[in-house]
Amino acid sequence: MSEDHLVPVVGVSVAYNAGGRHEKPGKSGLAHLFEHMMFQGSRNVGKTEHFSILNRIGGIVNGGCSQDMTIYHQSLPSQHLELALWLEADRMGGLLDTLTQEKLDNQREVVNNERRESCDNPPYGRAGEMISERVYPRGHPYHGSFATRFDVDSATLDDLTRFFETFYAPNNATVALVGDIKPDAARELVHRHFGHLRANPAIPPAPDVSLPRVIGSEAREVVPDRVSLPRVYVAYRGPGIADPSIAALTVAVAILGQGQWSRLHRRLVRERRLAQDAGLFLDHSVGPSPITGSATARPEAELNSLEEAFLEITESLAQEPVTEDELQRARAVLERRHLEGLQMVGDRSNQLGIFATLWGSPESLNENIEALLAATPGEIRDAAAGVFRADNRVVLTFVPEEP
Amino acid sequence: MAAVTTRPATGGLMPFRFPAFQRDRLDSGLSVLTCNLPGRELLAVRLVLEAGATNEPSASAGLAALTARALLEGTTQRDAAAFGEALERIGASLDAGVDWDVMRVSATVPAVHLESLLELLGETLAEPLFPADALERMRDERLNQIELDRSNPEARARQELMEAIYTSDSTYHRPLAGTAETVSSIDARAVSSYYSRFGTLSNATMVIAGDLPGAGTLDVVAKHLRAANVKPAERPTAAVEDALQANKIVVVHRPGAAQSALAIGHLGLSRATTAYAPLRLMAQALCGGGMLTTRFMFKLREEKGYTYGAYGGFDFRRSAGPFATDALVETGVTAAAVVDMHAEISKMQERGVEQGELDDARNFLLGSWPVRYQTPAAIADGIAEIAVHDLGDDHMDALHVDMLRQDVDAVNAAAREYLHPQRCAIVVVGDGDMVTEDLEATGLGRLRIVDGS
Repeated sequence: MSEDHLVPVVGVSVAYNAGGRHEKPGKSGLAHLFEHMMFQGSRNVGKTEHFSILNRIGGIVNGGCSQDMTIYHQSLPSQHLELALWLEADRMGGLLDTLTQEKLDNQREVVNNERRESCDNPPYGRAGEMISERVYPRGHPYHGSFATRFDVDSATLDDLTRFFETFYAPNNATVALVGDIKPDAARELVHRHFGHLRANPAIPPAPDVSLPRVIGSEAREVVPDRVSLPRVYVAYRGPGIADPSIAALTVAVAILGQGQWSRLHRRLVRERRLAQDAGLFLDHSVGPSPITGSATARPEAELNSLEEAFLEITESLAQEPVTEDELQRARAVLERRHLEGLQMVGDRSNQLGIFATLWGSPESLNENIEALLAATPGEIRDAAAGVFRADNRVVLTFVPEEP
Repeated sequence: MAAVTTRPATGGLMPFRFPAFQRDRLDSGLSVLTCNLPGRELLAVRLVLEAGATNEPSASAGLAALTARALLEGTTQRDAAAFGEALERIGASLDAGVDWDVMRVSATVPAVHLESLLELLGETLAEPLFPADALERMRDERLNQIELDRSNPEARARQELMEAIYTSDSTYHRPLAGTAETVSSIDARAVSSYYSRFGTLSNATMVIAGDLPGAGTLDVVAKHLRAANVKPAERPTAAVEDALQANKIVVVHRPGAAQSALAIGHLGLSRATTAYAPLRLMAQALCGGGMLTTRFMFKLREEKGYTYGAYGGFDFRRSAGPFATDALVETGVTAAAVVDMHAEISKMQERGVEQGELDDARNFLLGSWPVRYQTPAAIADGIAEIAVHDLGDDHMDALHVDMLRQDVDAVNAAAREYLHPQRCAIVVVGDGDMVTEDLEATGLGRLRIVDGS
């Protein structure tokens, strides 16, 4: 709980330690499908009523699912806090009462359309999935995108029931409340609504997602696609969030690839004019975190030169040390972004839920930004040297397909 | 402890007042609207200039957008890199862009650095460099982006919809970012002269929301935002003419597409319309965002499973913007989804909303105000809208009252008058070989095929 009375709003997040990594082989996509089923009604709540009941009092509602976990969140005028807790508890305790084949069939189609919309149809849409298939070996829980590698069509009510009974238990969940609350009264409400729910004594241990630190060799592929400009994707296997180098690596990625004055954008877009855009992103994960970069080629640019320059800039961070000014700028921008991410009570309750679930404690949210701001040039250099290497990269080049 | 089976009572809407702000005018003519929000660590700044894309000649479409981008490319005192790095050192973000009505410069900065931000902003507004070399790069990037957008099904559907709704000499017919032809003709001289004509502070508005340093805020603004150009900018009116006399279907053929991008719409209204409140309520019930129980979402997603999402609404501009809806659907259900979307628009036009639906839409729109207006940035955007449309400083509270006053009859009268299911443009970007026959069989309108590969 985090009390803050700046606005008469409360953010309510319920995080479950259940994501793509918890799916059994042959049951991929179940965690994401499940996120949808959580809005299809429960013991005392009709189909889509979770939305409509909260919408009716001005609540804004959504859910999100990643490889690591699933989170449900709502921001609403604070006098309605109990309503949100009641709804969340009703589905945590009573989802299975109203699960039907008809609801499953309907949401299967919705999820399939979500996949078409994000992967199959848009230009470059397959890149994310293809990268994860190369950064992680076949059989690893992160191999393939959770939203796309989907045994959706074979998922049964039985699969959903088992997933729910295993993972959607109070001892596998975190409730985060942020904003206009009175902690004593809020604690009392949480007890009233969640207190009777039965724990699952047999939550399976978290799946092993460990891998060697580097991929071991380079993977590359040219992908003809319906695109109007070629784009180079470069991805690396990075450490997980518990690794001591993760903070320094996060700063390295910011210096290399975030913002107009990062090394990649400045050199590829502005100075050498090889690319239309360029950037690099780190997706903080429990297991090895993917670091994905891309640059869209200018039509007149030589693709080989673009790729070569991209790799050179990224992989030379160890030889071309971070300057004091670069570091100061990166810190100022990272700190502003951190503050931006905490402005809305709903974002803050989400972050507390995510940090409590994956980092191990809600306080890690503050420790994390402190670690980012404390990373030294030496730590940044070492972190970069361990990750940005030729034997740890995936290079995909999307090119316009022949008509 | 037993489960609580009864839903907690909710009661009615809580009263909400939009944060108060103060209006001042500097000698330069710049209006300054300040909103003090104690306790916020970040400040939001918005500058609204009368330099929106409506002002550009149609032969130079894209000039306003390019000018906005070029504004952050350095000043006579420091080049683009030095300027960008100075912003980063204070942790500021700074963006500039245009819509049809105005040019907006938006910044977020830790409250302690407000003055440094205003100094940099003032410098680039008074002495922008507009270097020819950077302009050339940005123009090329823009041209490439136009190509990228053409291969993006949703962006393509939106643009085709505008071209179908508005006659070719209407302002809103052309893309905001320009076309390959018009953008090619833009150079640093054109940008510089556009800016000197329209980029004036004398009828601009600055909004600052956040934990303000106190009474000195205005002095700091006055010190750093000097008048580079004192002549008030002209405020031309967009030319807007309805191109639709009957329903019309446009298929943009993309062989092998996995999905069809659908866009259905027609001419809407300007922000000044007295029907604004009833239309917002009606559009929310029909296809508004944030709700799963709009007619669109209920029919197309929750009942049929055709789509992940189907949304729409009126885009109220200074002149009559469009009413536009869209969805992405699997190729095989394209015609069925088009029929359903069109039928929902028709039904709404003929029969209107039920009392319960109106209550839900209203409670969502008004009830979510405290959630929406949490941050200095959101509050500053709300205040900037007041400036763009001359809505009056008590507008948000007045709108609240106006929305509460609307009953089923008023909303349904607006639906009857302003939805036009008999003259809609229906755009489908998808595999023409797979969808054309079914679309023709719907009998919804004459069909034209355009190459989209």
